Amino acid sequence: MTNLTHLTALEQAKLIRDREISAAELLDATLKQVAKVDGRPGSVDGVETEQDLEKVHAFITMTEAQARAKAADVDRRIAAGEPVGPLAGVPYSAKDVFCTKGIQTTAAAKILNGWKPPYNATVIDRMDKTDAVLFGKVNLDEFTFGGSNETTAFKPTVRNPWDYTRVPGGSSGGSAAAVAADEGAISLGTDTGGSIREPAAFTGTVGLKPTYGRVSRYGVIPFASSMDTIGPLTRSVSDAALVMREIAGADPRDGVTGRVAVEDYLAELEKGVKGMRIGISPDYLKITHINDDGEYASAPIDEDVLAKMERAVAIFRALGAEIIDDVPMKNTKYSVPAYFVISRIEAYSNLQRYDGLRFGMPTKRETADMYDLYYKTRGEGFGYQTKLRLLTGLFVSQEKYYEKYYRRAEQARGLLRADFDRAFDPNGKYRLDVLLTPSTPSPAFEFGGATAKDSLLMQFADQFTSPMNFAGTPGISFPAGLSKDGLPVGLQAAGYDYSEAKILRAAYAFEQATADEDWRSVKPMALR
Amino acid sequence: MEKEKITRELFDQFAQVGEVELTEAEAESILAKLNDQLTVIDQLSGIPLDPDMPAVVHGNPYPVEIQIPLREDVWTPFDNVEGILAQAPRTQDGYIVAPDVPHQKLS
Repeated sequence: MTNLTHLTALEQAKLIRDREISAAELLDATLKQVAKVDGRPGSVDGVETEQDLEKVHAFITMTEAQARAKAADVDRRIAAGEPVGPLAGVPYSAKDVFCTKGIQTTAAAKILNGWKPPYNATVIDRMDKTDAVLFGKVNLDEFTFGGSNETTAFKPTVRNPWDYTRVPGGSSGGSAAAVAADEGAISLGTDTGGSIREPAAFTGTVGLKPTYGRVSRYGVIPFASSMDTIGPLTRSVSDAALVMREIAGADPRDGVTGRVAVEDYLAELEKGVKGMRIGISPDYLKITHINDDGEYASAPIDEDVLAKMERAVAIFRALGAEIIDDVPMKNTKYSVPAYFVISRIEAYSNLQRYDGLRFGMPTKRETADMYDLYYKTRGEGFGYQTKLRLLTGLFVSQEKYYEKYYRRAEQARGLLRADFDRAFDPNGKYRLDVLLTPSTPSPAFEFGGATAKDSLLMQFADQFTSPMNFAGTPGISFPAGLSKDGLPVGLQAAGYDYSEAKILRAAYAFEQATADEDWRSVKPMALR
Repeated sequence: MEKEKITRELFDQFAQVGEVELTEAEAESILAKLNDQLTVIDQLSGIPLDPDMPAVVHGNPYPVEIQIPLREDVWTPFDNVEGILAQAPRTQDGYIVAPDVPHQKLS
């Protein structure tokens, strides 16, 4: 019997259109899978117990009633011979930062516990037009602040379906874990410094961060508005291409979306990589960090990750791609300090709306006046990491530091962008179509990193992804094999502005070329 | 360049301006982390930059040809006012009730 929940979204949609299964049956199978592997949903009064340590815990809220109504509508229309959308009946989840009308939207923050938005995010409406079925909202790092999901206020924390002792990555960790554990073939995530691509790499899933402005952010709870992007996490490149085709495009409600034609990314996939110029940069094959003397120093990346990179290069070369070695991206190392400053300042600004009046549950304690209400409400409603980022942002945004920190960080952003301009210039020395990099310097790490003394080290997990958020350029993380410990390793195909079709083609070519390899049949711990 | 260090007194002022109440344990821990992070942030001082180099606010260009045209500045009613009010802590006659805003009379 076919395992419905392990199929791709494209396969599921075809079965429904062909009336071999109903949308209601597929939804039932998906909800059963959640009941089997997920365990308790996250909640603000959740305390982790021993039993919680061997479940995925991807979800905060299940939207079963709405999902059943949507699935029934799809089934009725198919039975009546009426037209349906390309994802008709396919269950999907959304990171709990996407506003869903009348359905709790928390950003995994205590202050938003129980908040029900009065409208839908644009992408939720667009997914609804495809007739996909939203069946749940998934956990994340609080306000997307983190790379491991450990900062969520909604416990139990999401665990990596491949190894429950490891983090799923973040901040879209719930999305990645849900998709990896066959709890829906699609999840919508967000990416400000790597928050789609890092968890995708850690869970053996596909994660696409589009060009800044390619997908509307209207109705999505923000982190750092100059870098926030939205994209899908899936188990196949084709599914990512299909979802991106459906959610991309200009939106009058998001003033940074671009009026650039949306390609049929799905149809483009088959064009392959023959003749494509794929670049490799030494600056993406090492970690650059600041040593105890305050100087930049290099450290090697994980040897399994490096081995997968080398193998992928050989595969792309065999597929007819032209490999361009030694592409300099020498400003990559500045991404950590610059990201720190810009993302914290923008986060501080975006957090000002949560005050117990405009947004957020007000304190129940006595308050002397409005400012006292703000002070106590935010003290109770924000988690540790949010308070840290808020105060960092406030500190470095002082006027006296404008030249020293903020302006220099914005100039450093220009340097990072220039790296991409040079590498992808069609008349330049390198003329890249795709830059191939590891998605992360290592496979998924164990729990505990976020609260350890060296939490700055966690930023290095973003070192190969945050430059694309600075540059505004797209990147896709795709599975490239398993480490010696059996953990997924992800590689990134990064491109130039609005080149989603090219990076999807590269990822798809690799997926097809390795389709029959043994590692592809290894199942995550949650599915064994 | 001498590294900035945040004192506890300054930190407490920032917590007030940032309108966020902290426990003593949070304050101690966040202050220590903030000072650690300044070490990283301070690396920005060491980046060789042309002083005339412009600050880049968005990575990818957003030329006028692809920009979303500004809409007419016309008020349009929101279709779910009840949905907004339902989330407010207290309402009265369609308004959200807020606590007093402290003010001083100018002499």
